[in-house]
Amino acid sequence: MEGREYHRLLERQLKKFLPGYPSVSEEMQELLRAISNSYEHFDNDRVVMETAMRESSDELMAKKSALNALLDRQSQVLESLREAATSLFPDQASIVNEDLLRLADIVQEEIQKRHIAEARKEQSDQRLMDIIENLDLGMARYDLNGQITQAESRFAQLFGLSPQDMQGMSALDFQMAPVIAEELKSAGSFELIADHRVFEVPMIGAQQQEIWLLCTTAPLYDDSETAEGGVIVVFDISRQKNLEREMREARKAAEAGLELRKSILANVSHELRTPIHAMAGMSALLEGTPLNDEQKHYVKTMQFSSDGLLVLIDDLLDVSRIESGRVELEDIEFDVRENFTQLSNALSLRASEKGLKFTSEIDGQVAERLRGDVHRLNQVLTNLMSNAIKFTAEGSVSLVLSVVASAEDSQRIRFNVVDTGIGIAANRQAAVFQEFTQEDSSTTRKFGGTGLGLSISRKIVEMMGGELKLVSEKNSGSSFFFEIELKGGVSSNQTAPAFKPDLNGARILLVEDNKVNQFLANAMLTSWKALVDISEDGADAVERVKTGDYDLVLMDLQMPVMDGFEATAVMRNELKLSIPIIGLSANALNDERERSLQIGMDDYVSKPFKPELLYAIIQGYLRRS
Amino acid sequence: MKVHQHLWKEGKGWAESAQSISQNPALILAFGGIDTLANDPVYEEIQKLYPMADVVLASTAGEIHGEEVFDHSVSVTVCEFEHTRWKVFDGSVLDCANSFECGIHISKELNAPDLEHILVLSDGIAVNGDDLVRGINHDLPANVIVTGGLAADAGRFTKTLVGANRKPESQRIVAIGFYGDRLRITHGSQGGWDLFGPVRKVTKAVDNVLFELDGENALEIYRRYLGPRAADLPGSALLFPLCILGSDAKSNLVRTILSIDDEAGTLRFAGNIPEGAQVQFMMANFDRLVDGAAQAAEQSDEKSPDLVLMVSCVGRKLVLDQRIEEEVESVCNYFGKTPAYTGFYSNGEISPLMGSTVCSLHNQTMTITTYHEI
Repeated sequence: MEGREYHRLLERQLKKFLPGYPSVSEEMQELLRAISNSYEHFDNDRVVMETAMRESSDELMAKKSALNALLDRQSQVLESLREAATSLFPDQASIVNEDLLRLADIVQEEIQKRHIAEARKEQSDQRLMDIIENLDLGMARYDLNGQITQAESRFAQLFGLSPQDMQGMSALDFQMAPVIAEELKSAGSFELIADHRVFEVPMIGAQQQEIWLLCTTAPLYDDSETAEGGVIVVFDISRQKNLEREMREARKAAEAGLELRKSILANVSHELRTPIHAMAGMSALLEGTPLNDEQKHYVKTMQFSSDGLLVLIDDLLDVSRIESGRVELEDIEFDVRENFTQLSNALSLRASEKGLKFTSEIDGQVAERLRGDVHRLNQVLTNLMSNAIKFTAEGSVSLVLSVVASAEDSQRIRFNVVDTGIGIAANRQAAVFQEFTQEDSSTTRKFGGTGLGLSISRKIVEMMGGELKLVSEKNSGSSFFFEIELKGGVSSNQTAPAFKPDLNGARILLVEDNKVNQFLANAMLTSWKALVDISEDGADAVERVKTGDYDLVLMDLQMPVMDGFEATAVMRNELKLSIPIIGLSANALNDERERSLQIGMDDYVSKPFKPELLYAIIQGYLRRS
Repeated sequence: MKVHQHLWKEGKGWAESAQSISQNPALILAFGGIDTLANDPVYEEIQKLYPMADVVLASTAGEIHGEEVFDHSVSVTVCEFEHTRWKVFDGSVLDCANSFECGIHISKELNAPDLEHILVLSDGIAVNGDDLVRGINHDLPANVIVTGGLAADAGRFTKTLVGANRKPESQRIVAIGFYGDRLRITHGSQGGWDLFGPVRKVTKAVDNVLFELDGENALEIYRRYLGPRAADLPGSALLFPLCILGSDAKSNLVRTILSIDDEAGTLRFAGNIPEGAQVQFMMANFDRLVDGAAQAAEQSDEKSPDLVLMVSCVGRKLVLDQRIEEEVESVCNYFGKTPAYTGFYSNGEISPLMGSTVCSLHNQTMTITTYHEI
C-alpha cells in the first residue's frame, strides 16, 4: 500500500461512492482500514494460492509424464514378457495373452520346477563327488588363473590339507605346482589348456614322501561355451610305479646275468675248442701217415668223437647266438647235388653202421646251383638226419628234395627227412621243438643228446623264411619237412677245383703260444710248402716283423705278454705295416671277429679250422700282394 | 463447578472493574499475548485477586475469551471445583534429558488411581511436542484423557512463556492432574484443511527436522510453493502444513513448521517427521476451517459443559485473519450460552486421535476439551 492509505480497489470505490471520505470520523477510518486489510489479505492469499497451484500443477504434470513414460515402458515390458511367455509355454498361449496373474502363476510354477531341478542337480553333483571319493580319485577344479575353485577331500588329503584350505589357493603356489606346471608347459597358459590330457607326475606328499600321480585334465566351459577353467582328476599310482621300478631293476639284473652267462659260455667254448682242435688236427695228420687197418679204425673213432664234441659245442654256441639275435645268414652259391651228395655220404656211413637203408632223392627240377647259407642248411639237415638215424632201429632214413614253386631267379624247395623210427606221440610233437626237450626223459636215457638240435633247426629254418613241421605217429616213423625260397646260382656247370695246396715258399709268421697248436699249424703250413717262423707271443711277433720279410701273419688272439689285438694294433698304427694279418681264435663268437677286423686284421678264422678254408684264405691274400 | 472470567488488556489493565468473585481455592487458567505477559504485572494482579488459587499462565498467538478472539490481552478463567481435586506440576525443560523424559516425569508426578485427566501447557519452541506426549502416555492408564497445547508467541516462533504460580518463563512445562469420578471430560479435534499436490516420501529426516522430500531439499520446495511469500518464512509456511498420511484419513497427522535453518536447508516441525513416511501438502479452505471447528465441538459429544477450552492453531489464525472469530462462533453456537469459553492460539494442540484415548500432538487443528462436574 505504498503511498496509499487503503487498498487500491477500496480507494477507487471510496472515490466513486464516497467522495468526501478523507474527512470521515475516527471510527469510520478504523472500519475502512479493516476493510482495506481484508482486501490486502485476499490478494495475498490469491497470490499464494496461484503460486501453489501452478507449482503443484507443474509438479503433477512432470509426474504425469514420468508416469506415462513408465507406463509405456511397462507396456513394452509386458509385451516382451508375453512374447517370452508365449514361446516358453506355447500350450498356455491363450492364458498368457489374457491373464497376467495366471501368467505370474505359471512363471512361479516354472521357477519352482527349476528350483527342484537345481536341487536335484546339486544332489547328483554330490553323488558324483561321493563316487569319485569312493573310487579313490582326487578331483579339483581351477579357474583360468589357476586358482583352485573346488577341491574334494581325497585331493586335498594328498597335500595334507582340507578342501576349504585349498579353496582359492593358486595351483602354482603350493605342491600341486608340478602338476599344473606340466600342464602349462604343454599348453602355454591356463587359458590354452583346452585339450584333454593325461600325464604322470612325481610330487612330494603330505608326509614328505614321493608320490606318483596319474593325472587327467579337461577344460570346463560355462553355459555360453566360454572356457572358465579346468578340472583335474588324479589317481595315486605310487604302488604301480614302485613295482615298475622293481621290475626294471630285476630285468637289469637278469640282463647282467645273461651277459655274464654269455661271456662264460664264450670262455668255456674257447677252452673246449682248443684241445678238440688239437685232437682233430692230430688225428688228421695221423691219418695222413701210413697206418694199418686197426690204426685207421682208431683214428676214425677219434675223429668221430672229436666231431661229436664239436657239434655239441656248436649247438650250445648256436643257441646262445640265435637267442641274442646275432646270427646273420650268409649268401653263398653252391652246387646243389654235390653238396647234398657229400652230406648224404657222411650220414649214410652212420646209417649203414646201424644196418639202416639210407637214400637221398633230389628232384630233377632242382637247379644245379643255388644261393643261400648252405652251411646252416647243412646243419639243419645233418641234425634232422642224425636224429632220424638215432631214433630208427630198423628200416630206412631218406632225404627228399623237391621243387614246390619255380621262378626265374629262385626256387621254393621242400626238404623232407623221413624215417621208419619210433615216431613221436601226437601230444608230444609240439614239445620236441622246445629247447632241452626230447620226447620224454626215457628217450634221453636211451638215446643221449642234448635236446638242443631240433630247437636250433626250427629257429634257423624260421630265419630262412620257412617253418619246420612234423608228421609222425608213435611207432610208425616220422617225417620232418620244411620249405624255403633259394635264389638261383649264376653258373650251372662250374666244378670246384681239386684241393692241391701249394703256397710256393711264402714266408709266414705264426704267432701262437699253445705248443700243440704251434705244431699243428706249422705241420699244416709246411706241408703246403710255406716257410714258417713261430713267435710265442705278440711282443716277439712285433720285433720279428720289424726285420723279417714276411708275406703274411697268422695271429692267435689270446696270448701272454701281449695279445693278438695289441700286437696287431702296434703293427698297423706304430709300424705302419700293411702286411696281411689273419686272426686265429678258438673263441667262435661273432664279437671277437668284429673286434679283430676293427683293430686292423684282414681276416679271421676260428679254430678248429678246416684246412681247405684256411688254405683258401691264405692263398687269397698272398695272391693279392 | 463454578467458572468466572476476567479479561486483561495490554497496557490498560482489567477490562471491567476487577473484583474477586470468591476466596475459595480455585484453579485459574490465564492465556495471554507474549508481550502482555512479559511486560504487564498480570500474574501479580491475579494473585492479588485470588490468593488461594493455583494460577497457570501460557503465552499465545491470540486469546479466545467468550465468543471473541483478542490479541494483546490476557483471558483469565477461574474454576472452582466442588468434588474434584487437582495437582499442578511445574517443571523446566532442562530438568530432563529430552522431551520424552519430561513426559515420563510428568506422568509419574501426577499419576494416581483416580486420575481422570491431564491438561498440559508446554513451552512451544524448546519442546518436541510429539516426544513429550509420547512420554506422558508411556506409563498412563488408557482411560486418562490428556489434552492441552504448546504455548505460542504470535507467530514469531522465537520464545514462549509458561508458568504456574509464578511469573511465566520460557522453557517450562506445566501440567495439571484432575482427580475424582465427578468430573466429565470430553474432547474433539478437527482440522478442515485440504490435501493438495503430489504425495511425497520423506527421504531424509531426523526426529522433527526435515531434510528431504523425494530426494529434493524440502526447504527449496517450500520456497517454490510460497513464491513471493517465501520471504516471510517460517511464518508463511503455516499456509502449507504437512500432512503425514496414515492408513486412513482419521489417522492422518498434521505438522506445522516451527523454524527453518537456511544454512543447513532444513525445516523444524512441531512434531516428528518419520523417515519413509508418505506426506502431502495441505492448504486452507476458509469454510472448511470454520466447519472443522464446529465438527470438533460435535465430536466432543457433551451437551452441557461448564467450561469449553479451545486450543486452536496459530496457522488457522494466520489464514482466517479477520474471519478468525467465525470458528469460535461456530463452537459457541454448538454449545450455546451456558458454558464459559476460553482458549488460545497455539504452536501445537494436544488431544487423543478420535476413536482412541491415546493422545497425540496435532497441528493446524481446533481442539476442544469440555469440563463438566456432575
